[in-house]
Amino acid sequence: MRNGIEAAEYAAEIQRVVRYLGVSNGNMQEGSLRCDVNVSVRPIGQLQFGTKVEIKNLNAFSAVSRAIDYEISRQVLLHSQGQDKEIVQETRLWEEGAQKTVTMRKKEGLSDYRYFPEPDLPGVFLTQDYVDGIHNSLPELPEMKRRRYEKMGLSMQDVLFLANDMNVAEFFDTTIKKGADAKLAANWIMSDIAAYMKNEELSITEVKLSPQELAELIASIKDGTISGKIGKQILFELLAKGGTVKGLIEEKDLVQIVDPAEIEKMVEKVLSENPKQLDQYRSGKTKLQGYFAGQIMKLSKGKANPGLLNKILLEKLNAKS
Amino acid sequence: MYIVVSHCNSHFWLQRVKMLSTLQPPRSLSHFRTKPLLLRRHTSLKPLSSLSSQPVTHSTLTDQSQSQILSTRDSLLSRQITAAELAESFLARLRRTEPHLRSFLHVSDAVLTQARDLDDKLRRNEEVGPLAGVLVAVKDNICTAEMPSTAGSRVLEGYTPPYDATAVRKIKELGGIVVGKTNLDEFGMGSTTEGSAFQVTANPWDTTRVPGGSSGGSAAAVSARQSMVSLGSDTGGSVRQPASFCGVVGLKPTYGRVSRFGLMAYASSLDVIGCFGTSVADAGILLHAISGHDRLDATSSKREVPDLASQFVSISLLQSKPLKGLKIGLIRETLDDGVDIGVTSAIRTAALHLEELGCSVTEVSLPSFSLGLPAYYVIASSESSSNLSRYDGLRYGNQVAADELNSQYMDSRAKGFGSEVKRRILTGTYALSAGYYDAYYKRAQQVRTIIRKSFKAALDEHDILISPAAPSAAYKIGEKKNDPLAMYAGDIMTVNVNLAGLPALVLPCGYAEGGSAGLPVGLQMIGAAFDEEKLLGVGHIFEQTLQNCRFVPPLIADEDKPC
Repeated sequence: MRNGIEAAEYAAEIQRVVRYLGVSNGNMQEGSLRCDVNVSVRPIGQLQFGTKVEIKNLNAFSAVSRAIDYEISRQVLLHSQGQDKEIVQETRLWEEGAQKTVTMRKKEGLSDYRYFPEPDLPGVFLTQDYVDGIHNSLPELPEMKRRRYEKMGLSMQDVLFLANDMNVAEFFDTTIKKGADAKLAANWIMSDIAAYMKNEELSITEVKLSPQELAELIASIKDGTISGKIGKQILFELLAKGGTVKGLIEEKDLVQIVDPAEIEKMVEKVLSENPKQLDQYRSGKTKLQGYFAGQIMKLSKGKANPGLLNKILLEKLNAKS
Repeated sequence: MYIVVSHCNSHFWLQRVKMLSTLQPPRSLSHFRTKPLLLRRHTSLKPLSSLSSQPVTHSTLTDQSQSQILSTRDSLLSRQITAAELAESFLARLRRTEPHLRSFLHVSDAVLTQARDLDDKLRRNEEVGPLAGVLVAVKDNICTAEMPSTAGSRVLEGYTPPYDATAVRKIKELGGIVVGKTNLDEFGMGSTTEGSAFQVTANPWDTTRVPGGSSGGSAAAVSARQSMVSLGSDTGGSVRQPASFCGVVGLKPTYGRVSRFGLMAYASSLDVIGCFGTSVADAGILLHAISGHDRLDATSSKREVPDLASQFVSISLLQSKPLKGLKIGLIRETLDDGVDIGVTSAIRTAALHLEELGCSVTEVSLPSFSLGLPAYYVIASSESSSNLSRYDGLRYGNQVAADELNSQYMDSRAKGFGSEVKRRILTGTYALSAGYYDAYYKRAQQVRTIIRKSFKAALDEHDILISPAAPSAAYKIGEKKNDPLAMYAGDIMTVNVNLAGLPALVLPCGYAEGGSAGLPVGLQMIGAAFDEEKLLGVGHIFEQTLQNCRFVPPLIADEDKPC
């Protein structure tokens, strides 16, 4: 690898994979995943590798990235000053505060572990059957997931977000399995749901909203049963308290009003109750359309279909002249 | 029934061979847990009445041609003797001989209780295991839960393990009684028991001489009939050499045949638990009892254990050349100048005996033979330097308190380990250290590969290889104590077998000069990996057809015994 970000991304992918496989929680802070790096530089054109330096005490991927970039620049600087001999094979520590690598305290001598092959542990021979069995039991790994999401037409930002956490990906997959549109599902997850999770410091497995209900929500908006705005309200309730979309719609009487006649009645009511504003509008203050729309929406308890509302309102406003 | 055996100087001896009391091998030895042994007396074959007027006695001192395990079982089941009577007679002999021998570091105080419990079971006609009533001594580097286990070291003085070694557990499950823990060179490092932190064991054939080592206590105990059989361990010859010195049978199984769980590790790639007996049959039956895969030892073999006890056919059933067709290779390099004349002569006589039995005995050269000794000492020391680091005074064993951790380690080990152990740890540490690993440890492992291959090639051409088990008979106590290298040199006959992981059987085949009755010399038979069956079969026939087959040390020779 050539730079810090590559290495950090690689380490992050390892973390993703071990979490996907369920073989580790991959938490660097807990030491479940550790990262030591070795860095060397050589002048362009030289085949032989330069002296490598080991760096320890890296506790986050960002540290991995910055430490590597720092060390590269340190070694390059020494080269440019003709002091490349000062690059010795050693172990350096990354100092997070100072944002640099420093030599570890010199030890008295070489660390001599006196390793020899452990006779109490004989060789482990894995049969092809065993290997095949593991292979067949692998979950869909991050790379495969990312490709699959890409093929669905999701943006790179969506893909990376969804595939990063196995539980989020699973939530997403379950939602679209119920028929929800991928892009819409992705949007809901990445915006409103993610914001809620962040606020409440919950993970996606802890929120009370189920993927089935998210799919139901998306479907209800799509088929016009409720408006998008109502949808957001319901979402919040579902996240916090659970329940079903259908149940909440019924309980709170949230079904969107799409009957033009009903809307017309409300429009006429509001217009008749606001003659002053009506005159103002007729004399040119067309901005008041928003005011009327707001009043009508309030009257309808938010249930009026906005598009229809505005269409009929505009008709009525422009009708009388 | 006679077997005519011709002596090398043309004497013809009529040998009345004592019949084994069981002719058919007990069929159910491979189903230890479920069925009792079925013994059938072959009544048509009796000893010739003109030569024998002695009935089967209750003497517990049986001559070598009989399996003590099988005759114990026979006697108990036929109610000729009780387990308590049997145990009592062994304990009496143990008490009488111990001041002279010092084979034991600990004698169990539960022997009679266990024997009486067994008698109760027999009275109730309950099933008893195939080792019921058999008195077994156990080398003190093998863990026993209710007895101290010191490995002959001050660092474990007073230590009682919380568990039994697998081999011990199996013996107990089959009804065996552990009579006590035997003396050894500390942690298995030594060839005489002079390396024990506690006492030196004497050779029952001449109490001014060593019994061999490191399993000297176990060999002496069986030789002096303080126990019927015993367990030892063999890393570089520690079962076979004392067997030779004490005139008993010593059986080293293939590496992996017997679980090492509970054997305090010296060199993990070389250590095995082995068996001592007064007959090949007893050693084989005991080996069968303790063999088998153990999930607690990752190096134990999953190979099925054949019915090792079925090799012990009665001599009367044999033809005149029962070993016809068997190809035996006598290792040329083991009869060189460095070997005592008494030993060479006994081995050559043994070779003739084998030829009389129908074998073809040819000399085979293993040119890498002498490389085994330095390779062994490098590898064994290196592995021991790692294995013995666990004796740090913290986890178990004796601690020398100190204010600081490193001092505690150093002081505990300085006080707890003897000088031979320290010598080997230092050697091993050095051989593994950076800059020396390639020159010593790595080279030694390469030599090991060469030795393994040369044995394999030789065993492809021969059924069995033979050699002495040691270059001399037992030497005087103190003679080599201050010359470690001279002591190490005595292992030349045995270490290659450990390096190659092969099975080997040592059985007494003759005498050398020394002591009041001569000093026993053992013949070593080496087999292919996992081929204990063949070794035991050949060994048994050799033993049963050997004239002057009784190897009973003078210390106990005055006891009443059948002939």
